[in-house]
Amino acid sequence: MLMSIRNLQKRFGDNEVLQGVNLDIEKGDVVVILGPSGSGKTTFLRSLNFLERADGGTVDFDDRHYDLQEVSDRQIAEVRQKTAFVFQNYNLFANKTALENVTLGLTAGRGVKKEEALRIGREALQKVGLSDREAYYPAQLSGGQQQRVGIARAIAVRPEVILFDEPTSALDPELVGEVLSVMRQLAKEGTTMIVVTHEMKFAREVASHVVFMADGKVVEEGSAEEIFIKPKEERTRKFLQRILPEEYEAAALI
Amino acid sequence: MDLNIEFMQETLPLVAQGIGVTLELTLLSLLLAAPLAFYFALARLKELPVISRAVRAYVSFVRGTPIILQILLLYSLLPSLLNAGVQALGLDLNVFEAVDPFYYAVLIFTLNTLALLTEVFRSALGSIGHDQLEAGLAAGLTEGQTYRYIIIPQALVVALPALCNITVNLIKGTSLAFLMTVKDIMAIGKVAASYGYNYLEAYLDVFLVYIALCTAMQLLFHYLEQRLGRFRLAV
Amino acid sequence: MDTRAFDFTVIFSVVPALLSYLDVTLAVALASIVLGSLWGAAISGAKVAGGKALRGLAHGYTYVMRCTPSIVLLFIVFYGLPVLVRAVSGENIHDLHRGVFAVITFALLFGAYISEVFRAAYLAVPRGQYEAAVSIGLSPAKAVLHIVLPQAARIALPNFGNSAINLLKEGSLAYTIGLVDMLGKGNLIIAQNFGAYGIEVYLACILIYWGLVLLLEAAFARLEQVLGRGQRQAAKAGEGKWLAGWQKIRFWEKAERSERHGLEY
Repeated sequence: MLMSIRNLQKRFGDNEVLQGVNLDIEKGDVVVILGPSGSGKTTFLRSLNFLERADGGTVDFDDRHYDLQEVSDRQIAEVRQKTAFVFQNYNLFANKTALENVTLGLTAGRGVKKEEALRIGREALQKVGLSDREAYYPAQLSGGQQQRVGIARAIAVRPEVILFDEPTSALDPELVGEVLSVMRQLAKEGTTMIVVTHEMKFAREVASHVVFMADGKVVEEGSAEEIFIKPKEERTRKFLQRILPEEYEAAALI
Repeated sequence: MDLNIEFMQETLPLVAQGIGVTLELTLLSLLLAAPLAFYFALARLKELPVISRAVRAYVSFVRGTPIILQILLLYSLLPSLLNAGVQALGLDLNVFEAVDPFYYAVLIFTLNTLALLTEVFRSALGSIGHDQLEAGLAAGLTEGQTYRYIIIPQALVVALPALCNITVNLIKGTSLAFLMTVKDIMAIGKVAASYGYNYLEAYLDVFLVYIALCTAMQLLFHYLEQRLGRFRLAV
Repeated sequence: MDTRAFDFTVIFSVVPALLSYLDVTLAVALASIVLGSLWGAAISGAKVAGGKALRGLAHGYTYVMRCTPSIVLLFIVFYGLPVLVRAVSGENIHDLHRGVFAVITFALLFGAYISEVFRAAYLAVPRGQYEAAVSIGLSPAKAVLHIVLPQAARIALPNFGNSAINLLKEGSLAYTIGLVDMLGKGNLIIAQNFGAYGIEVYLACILIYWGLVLLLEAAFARLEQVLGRGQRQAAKAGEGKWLAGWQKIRFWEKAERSERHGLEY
């Protein structure tokens, strides 16, 4: 078991956003988290990287135990060293070139030597098909290109797991494909990924494990087939019907 | 209209010799104020309980009062304070003769600049989205590293026009340093003015020197902005 | 300089004497603001609607004023204006009230600063407002007068307030040419006491100024609230336009524009 999350809780004021979420992730898993907006899936993902601080729960990650309520700064740094995050709005460093974006986490964040970081960075950019854009600033790249740099930045640090927060939802429709194909490739290579997304086709094809969340709880989880073809819960069925109105014909899905 | 052009020509290089003191005063004040202003700006942004309020009051006071009064007040107050301190320590030192007024001027303009810089830093740092900090943390950088490599370089570019303003205004503001007998551009002009009653001519020289100095400073900032702001230009 | 103890009560005892000269301070500021606004309106008119030469002149004037310390301009006006007047008309105006020199100086400065405020506000009103007014049959002049200018005035208000407050503070320089305003009176009190009580008098003056500025800030904020309804959108649209275009402008124009952010001069 790579990561085991137990009873993760988070509230904003009176609003209980996460009401005890459990999740297990094996090495090489591609976990896709689905759910209506406001279901807490993004908060859940952000809590794993401490971009939000959870109010309770535990995480066992890479043979270490973390109590989320009293996690230390050192522990946070430790988890962040072993994870990477891909943001909905890319969040590329605006004052750094594509290559610098990819290498900064290595040099400043992990003390990798500059030449080595450059080599790894170029390799990562090549992987996302942007070798010819390494000297470009984010403002000079399209949304799809920026997100691919974002992914390169994530893979360059060789994390145990990459967290994707709706990586394509800020993109123009014609740019979604290039990002998803990079993610498909990563999945094929055995990268461990947790992906919050609304891309159903991607989820069906790539997910080893699908989690459906609503109102801060995991409603149902299972293989892609189990969730898409024979969802047990009414809420899941309703959600899928709404999101895939014409397509939602159980047998036609896979 | 009878301007004594010959006098103006002779006096101009004399007045221009004050540029050194004016620039020294300006740059020292900026450099001394900057670190604390940065800390104050962070305190305001992070809403640190007591400091944040104190900084607000301080900024309001400095911005809400004439600089000439700040000078007059502090220039009356500081030597006495210093003297009291020296006497309390039992030192044999005549503060009123031993301390070059230039240092009072530096302190006073630093205190003034501190408030203005705080506001500039605050708005510049605040303009850099939280997303940049998150991206830095997620990439494995510490908060300090993220500020150093990501947020401050971006905020600096945002702040450049306002920094240019502050610098130009400070150059102009230091013209009041003659009240503390500091020998800057204005003070030299003032001395020259009373020589042979060529007031208008001397102040026209002063005027020309300030325009030249401010123009040079603005060109410098313009250049900096072009250089440091490259990342913002789309193709 | 003596080392007498600081006398707290003096601060309060000099306040009435200082306040009795507050009217001079306020009159100089108000007259400068009124005259400066008219002058500034003319300059911004030249910048927006003038020909190439006039536009250049207006920008040049603003630029030069921006680079000039107020006190230098004050001395130039104080010593230069009588020379100029004598050369032109032969009259001697040396004995003119000091306040007149102060008002002329500060009106010249305020005009330059406020012209940028006016210009930016005018340009911030969306072009569609003017077009709509003309399309229903208003003459261009009337369209500007009835539709564009009222909206521009409200957009200009915050920066106008800032500039007015800065002018009030700048006005304190007038004592250096011998005007007896509040600070002038304060210096007289100090002189009458042979240099004593400087700290107390200046402290009283500075606190009065601070109070005044806080009051004015509150007043302008209130005014903005009252007039601001329905104006948010227009102001925002204008701001966006300004931001988008700012990289293209030349540095001296940019310098003028950034002045709008209300930094002191």
